[in-house]
Amino acid sequence: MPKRYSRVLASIIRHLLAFLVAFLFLSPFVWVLLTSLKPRQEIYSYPLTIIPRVVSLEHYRHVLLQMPGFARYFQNSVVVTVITVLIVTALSALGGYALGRLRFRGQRWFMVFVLVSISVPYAIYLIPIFIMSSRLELLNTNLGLILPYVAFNLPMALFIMRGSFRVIPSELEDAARIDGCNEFQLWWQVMLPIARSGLATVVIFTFIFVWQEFLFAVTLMPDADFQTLPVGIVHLRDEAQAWAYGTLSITIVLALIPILVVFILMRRFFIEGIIEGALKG
Amino acid sequence: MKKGKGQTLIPYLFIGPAAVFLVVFITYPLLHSLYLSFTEFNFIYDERPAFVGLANYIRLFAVDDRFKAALKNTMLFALLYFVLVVVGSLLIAVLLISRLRWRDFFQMAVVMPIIVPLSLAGVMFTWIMNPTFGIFNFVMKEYLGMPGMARNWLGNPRTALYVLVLVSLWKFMGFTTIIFLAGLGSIPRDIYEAARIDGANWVQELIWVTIPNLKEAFFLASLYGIIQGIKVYELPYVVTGGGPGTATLTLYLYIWRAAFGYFDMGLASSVAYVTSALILMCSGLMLMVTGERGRQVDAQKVL
Repeated sequence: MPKRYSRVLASIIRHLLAFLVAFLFLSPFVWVLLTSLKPRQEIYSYPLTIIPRVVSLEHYRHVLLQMPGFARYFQNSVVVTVITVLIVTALSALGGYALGRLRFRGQRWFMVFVLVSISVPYAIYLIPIFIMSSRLELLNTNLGLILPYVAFNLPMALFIMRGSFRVIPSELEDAARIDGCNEFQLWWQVMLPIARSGLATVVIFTFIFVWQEFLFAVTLMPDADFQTLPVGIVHLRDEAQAWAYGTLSITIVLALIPILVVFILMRRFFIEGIIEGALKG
Repeated sequence: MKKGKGQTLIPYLFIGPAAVFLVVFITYPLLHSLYLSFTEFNFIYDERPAFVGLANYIRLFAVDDRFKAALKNTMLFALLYFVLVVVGSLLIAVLLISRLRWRDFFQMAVVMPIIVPLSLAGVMFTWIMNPTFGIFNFVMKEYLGMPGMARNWLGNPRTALYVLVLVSLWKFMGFTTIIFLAGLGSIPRDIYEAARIDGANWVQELIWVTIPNLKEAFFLASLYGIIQGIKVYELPYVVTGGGPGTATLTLYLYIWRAAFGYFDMGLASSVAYVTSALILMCSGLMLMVTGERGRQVDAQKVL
């Protein structure tokens, strides 16, 4: 009996610890969400309340209807993210196939180059790309942000896709060739459908990267009108020092919704991506 | 199918578009900023860069106190963050792999902050730590009975950096936790069975089966940790502006200020190269310490 007793106790302690950990990680979200529902006076009253005494949607109305800045940032973020994800997915599906299943001169060097560029911190690209953008008049354009974003995500994406293509058994390839497939049909009809979980990993990693990116966004989009959410919300905060926390909390909640949806839908691939990178090399 | 020229061209059609992007936005900037780091080049006034040799590098290490402060802060931040993130996420992973009801929920909770853009995390925590309207001080004072813990944490040069470490931990711990969870969980059952057939007891199992598998996870988590730490940028930019004084000025922030505050592209480039060298050195050190090889490739999104 004592043994059983101590096992139950250990289990209770484990669960308490787990709840504590979960609480520490989730409480900032809860606080922001709860504040977004409080009316103005309640946010600035002391003592602070944790659970709203009165639920009010006034800030939501304000942000959605009277803050054109926020809508613009949101739109910029969506456009830049979606286009970058599409281009990275397409280019890595193509390039990863060449790296994983074809032979070409310079292949080994190309792979070394990809791996090296994964490990260089990308601040090093910032200044030349800024100079380049400014000369080509790409500052404050979505294109000027999308192009470097594509380049930064490509090395990892190529690496992931190369891995996905490599593990496909060559019997499938042989069979398809006997059926008369050319290289592009083989890639598009046979290989790509099998490698789609690699594509999903590329999509989620790229999405998360672009939706959060700050350094290049703040540098290549000097004008407020063109900024994306991560920069724009900081900008909104700075605009008015006494900026309403109610409005602030809503912009945060709204900025997190798209990435939360994507993350929940594709969580499996995200975690698989980390693990694959981590343990299979 | 025809053999010969047509066929040898095909791989280049596949890899070509990606290669163009990489050459234009990675190779070229890499070389260009190396060149710039040996020049004096004010983007506003100077027509073109003027070659000055090592002058920028010498200036940094000889006379530039702000750079030294940034270097010191970055190292302190990176070291603290690195130790805490590795130890913390290992402990959390050990807890989460144990027999738990609602394990998915707990795991999701830890991973959740990964989706929050760092700059927004900065905004959130600036407000949470606000001395008047922030929830942190309020809870410390009113609920936990620790009025000593209610301070202006971010306004104090001696504590501001530590708050930023905590915010980074909150944001990135899920990443390394997943790595350790994978390390703990992916050890194939049959290896254990094979070990048991060979007569291994649980201590031997731990030493010969569990630890070697965790070694990779350790290496990776350490690599993520140290690189994340050296790259710290958004938080000081958003939360403290590098202050109070130079208390949270970091290398990345220094680069940005030099380049886009003073348009001193040469000096900024030299700091960028110093920072990269630091990161590569730390990764190399990690490789040597753990004896891992061929795993640098996984530095993925942290860079």
